[in-house]
Amino acid sequence: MLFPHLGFGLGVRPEHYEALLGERLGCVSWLEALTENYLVPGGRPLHYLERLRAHYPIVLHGVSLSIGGSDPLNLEYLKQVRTLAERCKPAWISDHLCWTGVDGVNLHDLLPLPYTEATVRHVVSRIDEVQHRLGRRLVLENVSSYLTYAQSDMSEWEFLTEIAERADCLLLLDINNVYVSSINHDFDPKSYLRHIPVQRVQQFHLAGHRDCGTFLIDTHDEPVCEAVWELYSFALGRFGPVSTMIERDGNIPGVEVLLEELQRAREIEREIRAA
Amino acid sequence: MSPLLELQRMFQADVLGAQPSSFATEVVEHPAKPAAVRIAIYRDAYRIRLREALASNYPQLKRWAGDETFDAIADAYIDTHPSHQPSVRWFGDTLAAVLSHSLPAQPWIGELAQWEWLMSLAFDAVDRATLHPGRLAEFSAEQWPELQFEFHPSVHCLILRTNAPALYKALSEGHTVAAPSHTHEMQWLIWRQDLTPRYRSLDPSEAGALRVVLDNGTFESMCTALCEWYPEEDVPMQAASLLREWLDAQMICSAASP
Repeated sequence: MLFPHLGFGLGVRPEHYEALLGERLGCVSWLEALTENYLVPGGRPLHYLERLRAHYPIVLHGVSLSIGGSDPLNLEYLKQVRTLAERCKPAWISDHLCWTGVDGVNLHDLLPLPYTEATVRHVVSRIDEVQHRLGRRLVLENVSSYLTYAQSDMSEWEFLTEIAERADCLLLLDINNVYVSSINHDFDPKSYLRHIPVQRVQQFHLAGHRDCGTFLIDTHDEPVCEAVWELYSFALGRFGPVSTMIERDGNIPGVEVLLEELQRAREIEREIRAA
Repeated sequence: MSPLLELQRMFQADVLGAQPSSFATEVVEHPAKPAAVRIAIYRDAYRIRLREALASNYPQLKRWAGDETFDAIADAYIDTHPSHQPSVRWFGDTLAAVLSHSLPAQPWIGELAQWEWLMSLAFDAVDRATLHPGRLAEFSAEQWPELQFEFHPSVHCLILRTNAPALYKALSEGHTVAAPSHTHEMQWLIWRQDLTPRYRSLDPSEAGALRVVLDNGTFESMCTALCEWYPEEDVPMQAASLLREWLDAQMICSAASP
């Protein structure tokens, strides 16, 4: 039902291309590539993606599908993603359960959806079409959010579960996003995880955020914090071994720093298995 | 209009800050976390993200302008040119034209942006195999006049009237930057060799010849163009020399005669 388990990986960034192909070759079991970074005609990005995929399984992770948007699905974008997938043979393709803009505008943000039955139906029908056009099941990630719509009449975890079950898609659980949203919306992050069906979870993300006082902001520019490590441990206890990776998009350190973080994830999984 | 579309339009209007919106009434209020603050997080993040995208696409322009001026340039552009592309890679594609129009007294700003954008287009232009110089020997003397050349998609000629390329070079190499200035009209060539974008100036004869063959002109018409600068007896040698230089620079993908 799930795609193969890949173990521990990293989000690949251009700063680390040479290290991943040189002195750190084989340091991780897989790499997650940001889809949009490789939707370019040619040159260095696609050159490195080709070289990396000779050594690492690749997963494509997009930010512009706008699966919850009200505009028609961008078929040209989907065609480009499919062409890229034919080229780099990803283990799976993921994007976010969100919308990114309307009336042709792309706000380049992962905006939350109202948690309603009507939105569930809307998103499920669009996932059906995307899965058909990509010829594979989609993996969708929960996003961090900073507001709740007055019209929402179910919880985020109910919304996520309903969509995954009805669309028969898989989930990428971003443990940091669950934690960030739990603080911003005052819910119990463990309760969130307890409600997600185990058989739907394909992947975990781990990342850092910024504490802005009343809110946590999902910035991906800090190390993973202690509370997220603790939640990761809880998630492993519930879901078992799940392909896990570290995401870093700002203040990008040397790859060795991210490998140290990833080593901690490995150790936590080992402890959970032993227990 | 579907309720979802209506909601998303209100949210987007608030993020873009372009018009008053009643979106706040759609958001749950919380004593410690007011709706207005929650919405402002998205509005601020949008501006920061697109500023970063422009800075990433125009790093030398930002270095030259400084943070404050660059942010002002970016904000004016963000307010008038929302993104319509899936990737921020393409955000700012019209910035050079906007700056040339809005800052006519400082033409080097628009030209620096134009230069930087064209360098980025060369960076990720379509990959194509290039022609080995030895392959031209396969054509007979009768075929040569009608020979046409297909150039690498990264090859681009342009005319500039300021020292924008010198500014770009100094900025990207971390050297002392000369004062921006007008220059006489100069022809420039940008292309990619292996994986690296390259550039150089063109003298008028090379620029004239290159524009002819880039426009699907034949070798013979390229020679005719060179007659404007060289005595007729020197033209074949000059033309061969230029071709050799373009081939060595991996600018030509194929040659064919009808």
